[in-house]
Amino acid sequence: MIIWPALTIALFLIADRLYERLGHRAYAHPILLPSVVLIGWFSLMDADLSAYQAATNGFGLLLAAAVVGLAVPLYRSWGAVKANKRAVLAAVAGGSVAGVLSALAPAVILHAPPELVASLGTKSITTPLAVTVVGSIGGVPSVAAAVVVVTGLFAALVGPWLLRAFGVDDDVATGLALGTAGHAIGTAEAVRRSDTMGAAAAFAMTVNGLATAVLLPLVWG
Amino acid sequence: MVRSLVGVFILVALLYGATFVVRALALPLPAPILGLLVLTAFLVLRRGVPPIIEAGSRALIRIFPLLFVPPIVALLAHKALVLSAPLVLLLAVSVSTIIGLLVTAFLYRALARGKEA
Repeated sequence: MIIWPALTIALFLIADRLYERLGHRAYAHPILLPSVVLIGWFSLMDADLSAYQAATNGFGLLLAAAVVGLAVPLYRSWGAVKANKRAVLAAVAGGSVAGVLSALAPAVILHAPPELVASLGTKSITTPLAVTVVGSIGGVPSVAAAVVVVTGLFAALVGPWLLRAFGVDDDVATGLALGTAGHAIGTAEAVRRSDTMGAAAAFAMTVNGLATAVLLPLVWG
Repeated sequence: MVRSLVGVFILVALLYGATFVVRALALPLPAPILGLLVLTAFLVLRRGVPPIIEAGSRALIRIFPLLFVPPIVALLAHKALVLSAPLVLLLAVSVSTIIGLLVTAFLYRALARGKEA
């Protein structure tokens, strides 16, 4: 069924055009329109979801290849953060652990189902990494993906305002926070604001994602 | 355009290579992560990004949101799981994200400033 990938791409192109036109605002992120339309379609029409999944299998391959391609922003952004590398790495590590633990704590206290708890472990790492590793800790890839996207949108929409309200005014600190807590979506917001903020965010996103993806399967148990 | 396609092709080839190595050696690491580590090491050793790799990476990162759509749509198949703990999910994406943002920003400021002083 070629119609499903074609429709998904068409919706993305429309959403991407709107995103450009609205000046890369997080609320217009191009993930939203295709997701909402397709979820609406499949729930209202009671259409065959497994046919959609089978037809869009190839997207998964490109997503995995895109993860490999993250080496480029990782390498490029190193220059922006190497002057303060200890502070940068400690901040990313601390923010990442704080984010994951504070998501897991209420889940465990409120007795959420174990596969839901596992799906929260990857909440702050970019979707392709989350989808790649969440299965190995017993989570559900699509739930993890949705949690990641909503987390990223929340970080991008609330983050810059929140940090300024708390008196954080330098671009590196803001960028690191957006990249660590809001992965690619937070990074896109940082890139829109300044080059330094964007590079700091890209670095934080990649290091956090990589470290979480390598460590989480080892410490989960 | 052609350059981007060749670049994407190279990244896919790297991914297949990594998949093969992960399977052959039974590594406890997802193949895309191994590919990312190997490519990063290559860029560091080479001290630069070949234009073809740059173009391929840029093209894929640009369409990231498109590639997430199928996993998000698959959420419908897990409706019961999501609705089983809406409060947990709400806390995870909001309060926990605020904590992550603040801890990162303030740790950086505390440590970077300490160094200057």
